[in-house]
Amino acid sequence: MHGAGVEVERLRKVFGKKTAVEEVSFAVELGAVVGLLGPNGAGKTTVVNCLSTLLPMDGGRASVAGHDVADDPAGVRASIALTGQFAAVDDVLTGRQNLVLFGRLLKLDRRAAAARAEELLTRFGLSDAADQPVRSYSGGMRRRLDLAASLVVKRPVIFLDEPTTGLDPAGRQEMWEVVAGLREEGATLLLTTQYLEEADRLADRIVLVDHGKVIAEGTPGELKRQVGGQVCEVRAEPREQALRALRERLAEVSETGGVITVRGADTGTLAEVVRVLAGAGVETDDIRLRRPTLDEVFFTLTGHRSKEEVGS
Amino acid sequence: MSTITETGLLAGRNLRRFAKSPQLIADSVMFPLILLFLMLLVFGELVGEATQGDYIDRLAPVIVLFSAAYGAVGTGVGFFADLRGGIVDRFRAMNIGRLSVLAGRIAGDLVRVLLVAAVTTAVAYLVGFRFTQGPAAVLGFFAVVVLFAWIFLWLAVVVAMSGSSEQAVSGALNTPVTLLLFLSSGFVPVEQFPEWLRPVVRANPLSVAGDALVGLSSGGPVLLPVLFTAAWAVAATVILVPLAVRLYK
Amino acid sequence: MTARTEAGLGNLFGQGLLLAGRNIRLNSVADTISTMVIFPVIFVFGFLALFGNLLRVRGIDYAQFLPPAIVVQWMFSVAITAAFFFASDRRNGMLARYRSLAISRGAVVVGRMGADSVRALLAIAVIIATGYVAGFRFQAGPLAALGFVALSVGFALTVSAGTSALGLVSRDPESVSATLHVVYLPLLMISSAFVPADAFPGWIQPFVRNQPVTAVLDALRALADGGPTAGPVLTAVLWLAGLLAVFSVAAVQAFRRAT
Repeated sequence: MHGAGVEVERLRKVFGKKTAVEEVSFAVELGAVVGLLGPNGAGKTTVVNCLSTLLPMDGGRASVAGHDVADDPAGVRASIALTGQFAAVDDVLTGRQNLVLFGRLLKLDRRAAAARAEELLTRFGLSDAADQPVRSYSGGMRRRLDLAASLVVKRPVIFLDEPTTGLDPAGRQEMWEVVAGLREEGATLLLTTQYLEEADRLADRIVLVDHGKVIAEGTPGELKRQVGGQVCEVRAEPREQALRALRERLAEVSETGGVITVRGADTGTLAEVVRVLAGAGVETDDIRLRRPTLDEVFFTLTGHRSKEEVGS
Repeated sequence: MSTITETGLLAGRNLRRFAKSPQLIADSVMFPLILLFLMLLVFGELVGEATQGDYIDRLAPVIVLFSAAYGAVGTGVGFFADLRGGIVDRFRAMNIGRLSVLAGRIAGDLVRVLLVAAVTTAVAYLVGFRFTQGPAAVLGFFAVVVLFAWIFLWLAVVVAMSGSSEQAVSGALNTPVTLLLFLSSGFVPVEQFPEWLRPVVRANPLSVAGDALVGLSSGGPVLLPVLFTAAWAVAATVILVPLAVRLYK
Repeated sequence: MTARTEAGLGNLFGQGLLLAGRNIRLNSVADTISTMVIFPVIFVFGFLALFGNLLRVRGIDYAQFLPPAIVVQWMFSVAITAAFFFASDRRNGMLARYRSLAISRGAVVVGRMGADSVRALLAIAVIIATGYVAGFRFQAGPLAALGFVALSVGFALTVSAGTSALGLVSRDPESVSATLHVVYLPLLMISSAFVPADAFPGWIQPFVRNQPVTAVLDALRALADGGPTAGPVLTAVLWLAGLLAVFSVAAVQAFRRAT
């Protein structure tokens, strides 16, 4: 296991005429949490499906826990826990029956399977509903059971495909706590998500994917720096006049919700802004420097808004 | 808004959903037609020999009734989905007349049944089915179809409101409908049944409505079968409609 | 470690059995009773009541003639259920989960076949028992009766392979089963299932006599009624073997691509 949980080199996947993944390379070190972040249709799920041997790759190579995905798929499957986009558990069975079934499939004996099911139900806060049919579970409970089902047997690498898509805020919060718990235990985790907030919160490193290609990679902090320096926010009256004055002198000036934003700023810019505004006879209410948000990173790199922005 | 306007709007919604689902159209139009041709092919010669008549004269009306009765299974399942999906709750919250939601469902499905009946008879025409009793009888024909569908649609709505799952609803409707279909004089004349079964076969709404439709299309007794069908419809109205309204609350 | 849960016949059948149990549990008891018990009984007596007298005129004992037809009809229904469950397993991600687990590659297939066989056997038992009440008898001895059951289950599994291929490429269980109903009904009705081939209009008789469903029905009736059995059974087995070869290639292809 050459120090790497997951290694992906120039992975490519084509469906008919549609290129789902053009070229994706990244690595997940042992014990790290990496977030594969991108909008719907970016190719994230296809990457996970290739890595978990569900789909054959059309180019490149990849290994998981030291097993080559193309040459040793059985070795890969014995090293991974996959939690897919859908809560893949049986509705008519109870939570406990679901977990016991997976344990037995993976060769735990009856008693060990029952004990492991109990342990996971307690750990994921499902003890009270353990003997109810899954049909009666909330969305968040189903997802937690789904995750538990993939952890019935301990595996070195965990794939989480969009763990919170479609959950309400409470369900998402609960899921985040569960994933944070796995992270603290030192799990090697590859997580796909279309939520910036989720990647920011859970991942040590983020791989930003769009149209089947990696467009940026780094820690959340590094990505934020990639946008270039800091952001200067100004509130000033009259706003129109302030905007006009700033645009004459500085690049990358924009305005949303009454706040004027100047990108690529440093401490020098701050002084410049103050001087320009004073010169234009505009009264400054508030002025401050801050680091860019991941939203701004996303927008700068992909040219479109992230899901949360589109939705609101 | 008046109950009638609301009913019209809601019936329109149901019909539009029907018109936009190729699956539903295929199920409710294609299936009766396939059955029509299959029955004709498989049993046409046998029944023709036994009755010295044209099988299509009897078969076409039965298929029309059959599709109305099975259409009611779709009504039950669809209404159940509406109840579970919360759209009925929304209608309730919008302070729409209590009866309008039920009436809209029934009215929309009656129109659908009539459309399917028209298509089925039109296709049956190609294989020899004829209206020989004049234009008033044609109108009577479709009126009997409506009376018949009325019974089963209310049944479907009641079952949908008391069922626990989609499967339970479709099962609870499919079983009696299939049973009635077999024990009717639709596919073969009453005389072909064992003697002890004949009273059941004669009283079956499918049989009486079938006789009425045969009388109104190719000729035969009309008055008595129509009266019997109407009696069934009245009974359904007296029992099922109040029950449906009560359950809806 | 990998060899322990993925390779070998022990895993194939052990895990297959677990999955068969799971597949059977997915059908609620009420649903199973209505589709596997009540409906076959209705169909046996319904068809008897409807057409028994008509065919007696032709010298056919319908109580002996009909049960094999209802058995074949229910074998189709078992196969359509298999497609329905494969499509819903695919839609809700179960199939992807099983395929990503370190379990035997064939276990999902064995699990499906196991569950289908159980449903098929249940339906056969109910139909034969009902037929017995109406007057149906195995007249060619216990071995032929066993052959009858084996051929019926073989037919169910063969058709199941074909319907599963369709179920595996779809994510919409309802439309798969609706499509399959439209396909199976003509195949069943335009066969010697409910009336003998010579009761059909002349132009369609060649099709009726030479299609696989008729071949299977002729073999089942030979096994039930006695008389020469080798010829019809051989024809039926050859049909099933040919169809199974085509269907299983399609099903395996579809299974490999299903995510």
